[in-house]
Formats: sequence, structure tokens, C-alpha cells
Amino acid sequence: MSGVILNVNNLNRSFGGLHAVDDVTLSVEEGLIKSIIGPNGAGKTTFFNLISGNIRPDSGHIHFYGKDITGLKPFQVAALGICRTFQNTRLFGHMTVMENIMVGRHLKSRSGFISSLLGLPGNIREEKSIRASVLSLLEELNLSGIKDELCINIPFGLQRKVEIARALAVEPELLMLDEPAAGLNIYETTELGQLIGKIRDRGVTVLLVEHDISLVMNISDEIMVLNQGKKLAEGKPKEIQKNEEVIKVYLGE
Amino acid sequence: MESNIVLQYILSGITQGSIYAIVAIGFNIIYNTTGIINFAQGEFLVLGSMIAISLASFLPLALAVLIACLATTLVGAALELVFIRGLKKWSPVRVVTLFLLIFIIPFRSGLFDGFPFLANMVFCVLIAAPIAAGIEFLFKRFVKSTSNVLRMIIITIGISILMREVMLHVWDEKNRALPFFTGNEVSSIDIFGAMISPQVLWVLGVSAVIVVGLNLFFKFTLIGKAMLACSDNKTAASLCGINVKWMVTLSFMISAGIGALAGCVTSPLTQTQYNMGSTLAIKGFAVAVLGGLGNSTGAVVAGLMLGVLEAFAISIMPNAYIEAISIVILLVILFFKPSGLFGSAEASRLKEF
Amino acid sequence: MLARYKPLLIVLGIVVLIQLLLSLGGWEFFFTQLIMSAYYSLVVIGLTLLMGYAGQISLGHAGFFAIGGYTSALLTTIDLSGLWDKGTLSLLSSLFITMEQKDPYGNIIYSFSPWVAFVVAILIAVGVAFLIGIPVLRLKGHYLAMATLGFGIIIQTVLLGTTALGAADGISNVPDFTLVPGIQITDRMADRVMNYYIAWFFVLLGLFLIINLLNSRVGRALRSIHGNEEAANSLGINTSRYKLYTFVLSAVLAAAGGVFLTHYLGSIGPSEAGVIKSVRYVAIVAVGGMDNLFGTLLMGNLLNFLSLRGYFGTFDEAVFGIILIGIMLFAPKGILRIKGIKYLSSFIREKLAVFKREKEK
Repeated sequence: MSGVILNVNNLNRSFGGLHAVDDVTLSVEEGLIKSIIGPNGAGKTTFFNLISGNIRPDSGHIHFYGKDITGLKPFQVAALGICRTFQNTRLFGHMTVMENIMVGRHLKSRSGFISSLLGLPGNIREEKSIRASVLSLLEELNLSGIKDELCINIPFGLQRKVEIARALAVEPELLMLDEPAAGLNIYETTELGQLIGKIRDRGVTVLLVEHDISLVMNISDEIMVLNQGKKLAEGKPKEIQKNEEVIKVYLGE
Repeated sequence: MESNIVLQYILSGITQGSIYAIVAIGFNIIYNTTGIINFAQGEFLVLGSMIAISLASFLPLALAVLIACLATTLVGAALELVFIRGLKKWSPVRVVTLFLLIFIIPFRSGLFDGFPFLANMVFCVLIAAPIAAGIEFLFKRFVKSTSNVLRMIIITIGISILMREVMLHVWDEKNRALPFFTGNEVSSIDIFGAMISPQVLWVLGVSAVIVVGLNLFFKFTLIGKAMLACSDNKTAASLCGINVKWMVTLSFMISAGIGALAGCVTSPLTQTQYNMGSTLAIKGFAVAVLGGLGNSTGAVVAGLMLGVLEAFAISIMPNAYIEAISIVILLVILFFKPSGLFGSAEASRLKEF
Repeated sequence: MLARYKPLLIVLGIVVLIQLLLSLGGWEFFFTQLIMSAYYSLVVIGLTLLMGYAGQISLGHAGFFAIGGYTSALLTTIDLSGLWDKGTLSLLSSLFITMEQKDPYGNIIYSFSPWVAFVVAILIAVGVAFLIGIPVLRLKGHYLAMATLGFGIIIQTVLLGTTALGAADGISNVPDFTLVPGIQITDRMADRVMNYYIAWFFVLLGLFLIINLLNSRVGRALRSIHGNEEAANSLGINTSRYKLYTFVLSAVLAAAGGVFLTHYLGSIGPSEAGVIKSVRYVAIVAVGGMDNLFGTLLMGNLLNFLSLRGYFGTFDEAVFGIILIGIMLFAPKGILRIKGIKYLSSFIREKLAVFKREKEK
């Protein structure tokens, strides 16, 4: 059994009177796909934003490999090895697919401001290696054909894929996907499921927020159910499917 | 410091401060309905008083001020229609505004000065009309109506430059002033040992009327409530049948109108020069931010605070640096509490930028 | 790898061409304005980087230009005789730290040498840019615009109110700037062509640096911030730091422009720090197309040249106001991307390609 990668303890966040995340505790084991599901407004995205540092929690702690990352800024969280995608893809529209993914290599390269200004040889060498690694990633994900397209010009399904590719370029330990199947058709969703499986097989832990229950049930190793900011249930897909409270929330009273 | 001098400072501070407050309220009205900061807000004050000064030479003062305010209100509406709304249809208001703007160039630069007045006019019309028509065609065909913040900032800056230059060419760079509303330069009233000009009372009175009037307008009239609804949620407002576009125009009209009125009452005290708008604008903005952008009660308090602070600063620092005080305050507030001293609800709105 | 520098060669070619044209045609009086607009171009390309690529507006860059110009003007005209004795001063002079010169009344005075002044000016600009940038760049939209505008106004207010800086008159009698022996920034008629090349050398140098930056990891990071700051942040980019560095770099370019132009003209006044100037720079960047380095360079020089020649007459400011509004209303992506011009340029490119192909045959 491998170790715990992410540990969330009694996390709280409210907006005005609304308790968006209410005392949620969660732990994610290394190398698994863990999914968070729940009805609309259950606080899933807020929970995500709390982990990635986009929002600060009111109370509670988040530990990544035992290190306290509560309240760190998003770029600091990313530097530790957590990378996320967004609900409505956030690609850099006026940059090409290739450039978008090259931005993902930011953390794996070193050139500073001054050396970039001067165009030092080391800088140029590094640029070449970034290019090479991005090209091989593009190859691997079958994106080579569109590498020079501007991101605003490519279809939505591919945008999703490019965003995941960009996150993979960061080489994170933990990849957080925020509703990656939203807006995809059934074929694209199946392909996405396979891609997420492949990512796990590469040794990347995946934390997934998703509405598409069948996708979640198919690929997840573990599932947590949130409802109105509170943890409702947690367990293997089979257990969740049988959980009466979960069924009640999903089918409604 | 003797008490009557302190009082003197406070009174002059309040006078100046109430003007800042009016400018800030002008910012707020437009900001609330559109989310735009109108960089040309200060120019409305100058334009209003310039028009009034010209009219006062042959009309009774009260009438001159009234007409000046109405005219400035119309200018506000015209500017919004032409430059902000970006109509893709043919628009008579826009053609007329453009025509007048262009007409000024040959007319004031004296291109046809050798000719008799009538011929001069005809030539200028012949030049301006086709150009205006051409630009109108450009609008119809090419205007882009996406509104992003950077674009709106730049457009309103452009408007402020344009207004300033038009004023420079219509009037000139001389300092002018309206006559005192009651009494003259030397008449003064003794208030507990502080000597103040009766005009100060006019400024305070008019400012108070504007503030109270606007409050009543927004609270009790249907149109006022509709404008507030726009500020709350544009989509919801338009679903309720409110014509959001006209509310925006109306907001420009109101800020232009109150700006002009404020410009007129202060003109006897501060004099009017074509280029004082930008200083007023930045001070007004400082006050608007200090009071919490969009919050008009906050603007009044903040305006008075800034005015009094400036008045006292005159006694301890070189005159030349006074202008910088409000800006330093603005910067400090922006850095530490961008939601302003009195605005916390607005804080969330900051993020939308 | 060298493909990225191709535009630089084109610019150099145009610069040389214009020089030959003017010299042969006997229109040398145009050089003065071309030199001045070249130095203003340094501000413009820095601001393009900041606004177009990093997406941060600044309405205060004339402030940095003035910081550069005034620092250098003050240090190179100040009389140091009271500070140190003659021996020390001549020692410092032999080390090129100070410089002997005549004041307007013909007396010999010692001041700092222009290179020292240049370095100090840049350091001050860097310092101020950091100081202002750290808090200001946390702001967005209107707040950022107003804060930078405020910064510019403060600089101008201080200049106008400080007698040591010449108040409303500014500083004059600023000496020539000897870059290396024999090559100096000066407005002497005889050295006009040389100065034309000096000025454009600095512009090309600035472009060289910015091109390097844009084609690097850092440049990509900047563009990603403009694209979507939150996403850039989540990829590990310290967005506030990059914004700050870009702000500082653009301030340095503006200050350098200020230093050079002040030495070229021999004087500087408080109007250089004015809001109008800052707005003008923004207008130029907007006309050029925001994220189009060479577009802003072209439009900047065109407009500045026309304006400096006085072709706009009393409507000088109005022209820039109209340009601002017109561009934003009709062509927010810059004038070079208006359909007609785009067609024309793609047409030319096509014809050239055809021509090339035929030649290869």
C-alpha cells in the first residue's frame, strides 16, 4: 500500500451566510483516481479552489505529502506538484496549442528574466529542450496535428484535451481535473476516461470533480460525495452506488 | 492655532470638499449603471461653467446657469450615444454631434477668415458635413461594441482630451469666472470669527441640494430605482423590462448635469480654465475610492475629509505639493483597502475587473 | 534561431534607407525629429511589452521618462566644487566619475559625468518602479489606470514644485553625452547623422532585448498572464513577480529614453512628465495594435514625427484624443490590422512569394 499524498482536515469556507465547504475531511492515496461528486452547488468546485490555493479556507488544514500547504498561493501549490484544470477550460486563447503546453513546462525550466533578456546560450539550449519535451507529449496524446493552431480556433473537445496536456507538461504528482467531461459528447467522454486511466498508470494521482456519474463509476478507485458543503459518503464506487443517502440526494426526496 | 483660523480652514476645506464629493458622485452614478469609470467627469464641470460664463454676458445669471446645466446634460447624452454605446444603426444624434465637433476645426482655426462671416460658415459646413457623414458611415459599418475595461478606459480618456481641446478652441486658455451669485469678491460673512464669502454658502447649499436630491431620486422615483436595479444586475434589470441602454445614457446625463451645476457655483471662487478637468477628475476619483466606489454617502464624507485635509495642509507644506496629497491618499487607499473606508459590499465587485 | 532577429534587420534597413534618402535629398532638417522620436520609441516599446504582452495598463510612464531625464540633467549640471576640493575632483575626473565643463557664465565647474548620471538615473528608475510596482500591480482595470495616472501626476507636481529642479522651467544647459570618445549624443548640426544612428542603435538594442524576452520562457509566461492570469498562476507562474519585472523593465526603457533625449536636446522640462505625454504613449501603443512590437514602433515614429514637426498645429492633443477614440471604436486591434490594410499586406506577401518561387525556377 502506498502512502497518502493529500490530506485535508476539517476544511471550512463560507461566503456570506452560505457554508460552501463545511468541515470536510479527505485523504487521497498515492496512485489512485479519487472522484468527488455531488449535486449542483454541493461545494465541489470551492473545495477544489481551496486545495489549489485560489481561495483561502476559513479554517482547517491541507497537507500535501505531509507538508502544510494551507493558504499558499496557487503558483506555490503548483510548484509543489499539484496542477489543476478549470471547469470552463482556461487556455491562453491567442497562443498556439504548442505554446500553451510550453507554458506548462514553466516549472521545469530555469531561465530567469535577465538571462532571457540577453538571450544567453544556456537559455536557448533550454528552449530547445522544452520544445522537444512538448513535442513528444503532443505526439503521445495525438495532438501533433494541431500544434500550430491558435487555441481559440480549435473545437471544444480538443481544448479540454489540450488543457489536460498542459497540466501534464507540469509533471504534477497530483492532477486535479474540474469537470473535464462537461460539454463533451459520449465518444469524447469515453476517450477522456481512457486518458485519465493512462495518466494514473503513469503514476500520477488524479483528483476528479465530475458530473458524469457513469464516467466516475467506471474509472474511479474511490469516491467522495459532497452535499451542501458536507461530506455525505466516501468509499469504493460499488459502496457509493449502494449508499441509501447518496441515492436519496441524487434522486431527490 | 486660533479657533477662528481653524474654523476658517475647516470652512474652506468643506467648500472644496463638497465639490470633490460632487465629482465623486458623478463617477459613482456612471460606475453604478455601467461599471465604467468616466475619465472625462472633470471636464463636465469645466464645460458647464464655461457655457454659463459665456451666456452670463447677455443673460441673467440664473438663466445662464440653468441653460448651461441643460446644455452640458445634453452633451453628456450625446457623448454616451456617440462614443460609448457603439450603435450600429444610423443615428441622427451622432451625426449632429460629429458634425458640430468637426465644424469647430475649420471655424476656429480661421481657415476661411478672409471671407465674410456667412461664406465662412458655409465653407465650414461644406467641409464638416461630408466628414461627419463619412464617420457616421464608419460607425454603421465598423464600430465594435464589445466592452472591455481597458477599451472603456481608453475611450473615456480620449473623450476627456477631446472635450478639453474643444474647450480650448471654443474659449481659450484664459482664466474666467462667473460673477458672484450674491455680493462680490470682497463681501464676506462673519461666522464665529471666520470670514467667508457668501459664495461659499451657495456652494454648500447647492451641494447639499444635489446630494439630497439624488438620494430622493434613487429612493423614490421609478427611474431612479430602475437605475439602481441596473447597477445591481444588468441582465435581471433588462428582464424586468428596464431599458438598460437608456439608463446608461441617463446616468451620463445626470453626472454631466450635476457636474455642470457644481462647476457653475464654484467658478466665482476658483475661476475656470479649460484644463482643470483632469485634476478635478483624479481628486474626485480619489474621493470616490476613499468612500467606496459606488457609495455616494461615502463619497460625501470622503470628499469633506479630503477637502479639510488639503485646507490644513496649506499651512504646513509648500503650495505646489498640495495637489499631490489627494493622489498619495488615493494610492495608499488603493494599496491597503481598495474597497474604500465605507464600502465592503463593493469589495467583491473589485474582482470583476 | 536567427529568424527571430529578421525584423531587426528590416528595421535597420529602413533606418539606413531613410538616412540615405534624407542626406542625398538634402532634407537633413528632418533628422532632429527622427532622433527625438527614436528616443520616445524606447518608452513606446517598453510600454508595448507591458500593455500588449503582460496586459497591464500604465498611465504614468511619462513619469519614468522624466525621472531618467531629470536625474541625468541634475547630476550633469550640478556644481560639485563646494563638495570636494580641486584635487579630489580632478582625480575623480580622470576616473571618468566627474567631468569638467563650463557653466552658462563661462566659469569652470565640475559635475558628474553622463555615464555616472545614466547609471544613477537607471537605478533610481528601477527603485521607483519596484516601489510603485509592488502595490500598484496588485490592482486591475480602472484602479490600475488611476493609480499609475496618480503616480505620473505626483512626479510632475514634485518637479513643478521643486526649485532645485528648475520648477516650471526645468533644467537646461545639460552637457553632451560622450558614449565613447568620439561618439557623443549632441544636437550639433555636424553630428546629426551620427546621432541619428546612435538613437536608432539604442532602439534596436531595446528591440533586441524585448525580442529575446518574448521568445523565452519568461515571454511565454507574460503572454499567458495576459491570456488568463488564474490559469497561468495554476501552472506555477508567479504572475505578480513577472508583472513587476516587466513593469520595471518598461520603466528602465522609459528612463533611458529620458536620459538620452535630455542630453540630446540639452534640456528637460516638467511637461515631459505630464499626463498628456503618458496618455500619448498609451495612444501610440493602442494604434500600433497593443501586442505588435513593430506596429507600435512604426506608428509611434510616424505620429511622433508628425507631431514634433508641428504638422498638427494647435490640434496636436486633439489628434491624439481622436486617435484614441477612433482606434478603440473601430479597430481595437490596432490600425495595422484593419481589414483593408491586412488584405493589402497579405496581397503583397503573396505576390512576393510568387515572385520568389519564379525566381527559384
